[in-house]
Amino acid sequence: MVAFFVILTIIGFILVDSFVQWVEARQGLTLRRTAPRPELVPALALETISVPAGLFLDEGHTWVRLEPSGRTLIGMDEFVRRAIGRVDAVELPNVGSVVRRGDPLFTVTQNGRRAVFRAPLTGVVSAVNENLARLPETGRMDPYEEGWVCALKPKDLAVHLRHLFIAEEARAWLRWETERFKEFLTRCPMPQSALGQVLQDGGQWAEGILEMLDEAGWEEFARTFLQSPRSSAE
Amino acid sequence: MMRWSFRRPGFWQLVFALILGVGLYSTVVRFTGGLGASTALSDAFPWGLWIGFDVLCGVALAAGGFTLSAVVYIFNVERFRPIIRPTILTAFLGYALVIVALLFDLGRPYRIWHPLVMWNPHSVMFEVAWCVMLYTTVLALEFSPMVFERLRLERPLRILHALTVPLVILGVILSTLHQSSLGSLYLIVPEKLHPLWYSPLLPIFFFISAIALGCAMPIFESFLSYRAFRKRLEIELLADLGKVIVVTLAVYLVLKIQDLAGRGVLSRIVEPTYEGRMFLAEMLLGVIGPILLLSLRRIRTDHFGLFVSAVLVVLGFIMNRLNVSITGMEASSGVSYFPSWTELSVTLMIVALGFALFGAAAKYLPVFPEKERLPAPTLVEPPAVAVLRRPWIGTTPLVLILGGLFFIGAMGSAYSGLQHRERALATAPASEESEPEIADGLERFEVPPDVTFPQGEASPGPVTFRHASHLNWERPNCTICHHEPFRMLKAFGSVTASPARDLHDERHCGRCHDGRTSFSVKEECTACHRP
Ligand code: HEC
Ligand code: HEC
Ligand code: HEC
Repeated sequence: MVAFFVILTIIGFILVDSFVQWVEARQGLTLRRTAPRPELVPALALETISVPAGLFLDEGHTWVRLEPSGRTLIGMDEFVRRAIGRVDAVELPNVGSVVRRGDPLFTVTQNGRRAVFRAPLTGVVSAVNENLARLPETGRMDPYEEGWVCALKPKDLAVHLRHLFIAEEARAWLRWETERFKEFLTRCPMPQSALGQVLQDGGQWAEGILEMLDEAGWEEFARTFLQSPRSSAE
Repeated sequence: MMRWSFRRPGFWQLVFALILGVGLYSTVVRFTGGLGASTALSDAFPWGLWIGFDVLCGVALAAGGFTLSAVVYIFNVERFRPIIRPTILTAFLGYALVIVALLFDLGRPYRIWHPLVMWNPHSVMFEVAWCVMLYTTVLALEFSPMVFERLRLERPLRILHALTVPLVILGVILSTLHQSSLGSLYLIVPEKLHPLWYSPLLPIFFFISAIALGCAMPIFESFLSYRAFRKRLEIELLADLGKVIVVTLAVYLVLKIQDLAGRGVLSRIVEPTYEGRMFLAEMLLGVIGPILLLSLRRIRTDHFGLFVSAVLVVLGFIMNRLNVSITGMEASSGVSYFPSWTELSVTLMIVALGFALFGAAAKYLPVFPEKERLPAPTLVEPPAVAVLRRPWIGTTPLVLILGGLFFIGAMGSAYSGLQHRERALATAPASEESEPEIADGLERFEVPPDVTFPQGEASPGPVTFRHASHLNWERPNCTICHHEPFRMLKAFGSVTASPARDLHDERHCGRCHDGRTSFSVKEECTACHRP
């Protein structure tokens, strides 16, 4: 009797905790979803977008880290991660599949709209971050560590690395991308109030601003920013 | 549950505050009213939830501490080093809380130091008491480097560092002794404990299951830490712990079956009785389920899978201890015990304190390693093989289905056990009060001293209460007066200590001296007041 009761109590606590976590996650989302109220838009200075030294960035906004073991880890960079904001699901590649540079590698979904990220390198997928499948928001705060997407056993690494940016090159390129992004936003149809607020002092844009774009906006974004990288044959 | 933000308390902070409030109230009730007023315990059932859950399970939390520190410091398996600190912390908190629980459960808690000076080496309790005290000290020493490191105190750190290995060895010895001496406690009651649990091997079973629990706790804590701070232990390490759990539990299972078969009670598992079903539930939940789940590589190398398996191990373990200490005793004691709300709330408070302290320590002390390394590649297979091996069902659903199956199976079994018990109780002839054997005690029985009450101002004469004229010599029963209506202990405010009370009223002497049971306080003044 007592044993039965105690076990059920403990399970009850675990279930309540799961529910609490779920509610907290949901609250986080609705807070962000009600973001268009202009005064609530969380503005971020461009300078806060960073890239750790030693990481390679690709034109498709993925990052690559070389590990001493020869394996490479791949994820999306902080720029897109912040621009996209909420993520509903991440479609991971299959472990063991062979990808070539420029092939679709993983897909991020938000509200039914998709953004396909392309492989920055050629190789065999050797591991994927299962956490992303379960909790797509993993790595929102830490896209370069916790938010890794998959590990690749690379092929022809030396050739492909030449196409990637590193160190000051990477930073300069990111700065250029954020400029481009601002320009892109002004072209986009979106709630004027939000946009006016966001861009007013010329250097600020909102985290998760893509949540406010429609289907066409997303397609446009994917074409402009996640484009197929130059093929390695070039 | 662990984030302390002062702006807006989260759900668990509120729950914690509530639990603490109720628990403190119960504490007051327990220490002013005594055990009888605050618990559902009785002479027939003296050990309940506080011993079965708080003490037995709290002590077992320490098993991880000694197993892993032995592995790392004595056998030099360096890779487990990151887990050492969380396990030491758990062990330390476990023991600290066991002592708190003991203070609640001991009839006279202020005598907790007695075993230190009044030795009775023939008592198992003596061994238990010494192990608790010594091992808590050792754990405090093992834990202190985290504090010193945090405070940047170099010198004590260096001293402790030099002491590490002796401390670890001492800890291993004490803890081994203690885990099994808790089992020995129940060796004293062969005629009371149900044969499914009573076994001469009980100390060994307690020891082995404690090791399994010790390995499951880091997994569980890694999850807690991840939940609160997004920081957790490496999956490879945890997966290795999973392997150790499988082996330990398998040994446990085999021994258990052998033991049951050897004592000829194997068939009682499947008998449709309360005990049989509870035993089945315990085995499904804590032994067979985890063995199955953790032998699957996919589940073992997945954080969620590990977490669910660890929860199963922990639940099964708790069930085992409660079965030994409560379920297995119920039939022979003849009473059915269910903890009072005071017992429940105190237990909840102790557990909640444990969580809060663990959270605070994990937050402010260097308990977990700095950064989780990203998982190493599992193993790279040629694509064709990978396609063949592609799972037909995701790991998470698989874990949920398997874990759920075992859990529901176990709970179903336990529930049907309860029904069997109810049926048995309903059909059994109303058994007369179980007769405690008191002949031996009577031979040595001495009458408690006479008590002469301090005289009140207007009292017609001094009153002497004689135990001798109030006791039935065939079967002296002290409980009709102690602790209600007369507490014996002066420390807790005996009637002699407080002249404010009217001793004539029906809560005191007047209860019997009412003219019916005995002469009345209203008439025969001189029967009591002797001028
Ligand atoms: C009819 C009621 C009654 C019964 C039965 C009874 N007692 Fe007492 N006992 C008292 C009272 C009244 C006192 C004094 C209470 C006080 O000082 O608060 C007392 C006091 C005591 C004391 C303390 C004496 C002292 O010097 O302070 C002891 C010891 C004691 N009882 C033991 C026992 C034991 C053992 C039994 C059973 C064999 C027993 N009593 C049965 C009424 C009872
Ligand atoms: C549990 C019931 C009970 C309680 C409580 C109780 N008594 Fe008695 N007492 C008895 C009984 C029964 C007798 C026997 C009376 C008789 O033979 O008629 C008795 C007898 C006595 C006697 C006469 C015998 C003798 O020893 O001189 C005295 C005096 C006495 N009680 C004092 C007290 C006092 C003082 C208290 C309160 C502190 C008290 N009793 C509480 C049941 C009780
Ligand atoms: C069952 C035993 C018993 C009987 C009978 C009894 N008393 Fe008492 N009485 C006590 C005790 C015990 C005390 C507390 C000790 C003291 O003050 O002497 C007490 C105290 C008193 C006091 C002092 C109260 C105080 O608060 O200072 C008075 C007055 C008193 N009794 C009067 C009486 C009278 C009058 C009778 C008869 C009608 C009577 N008692 C019968 C047991 C008894």
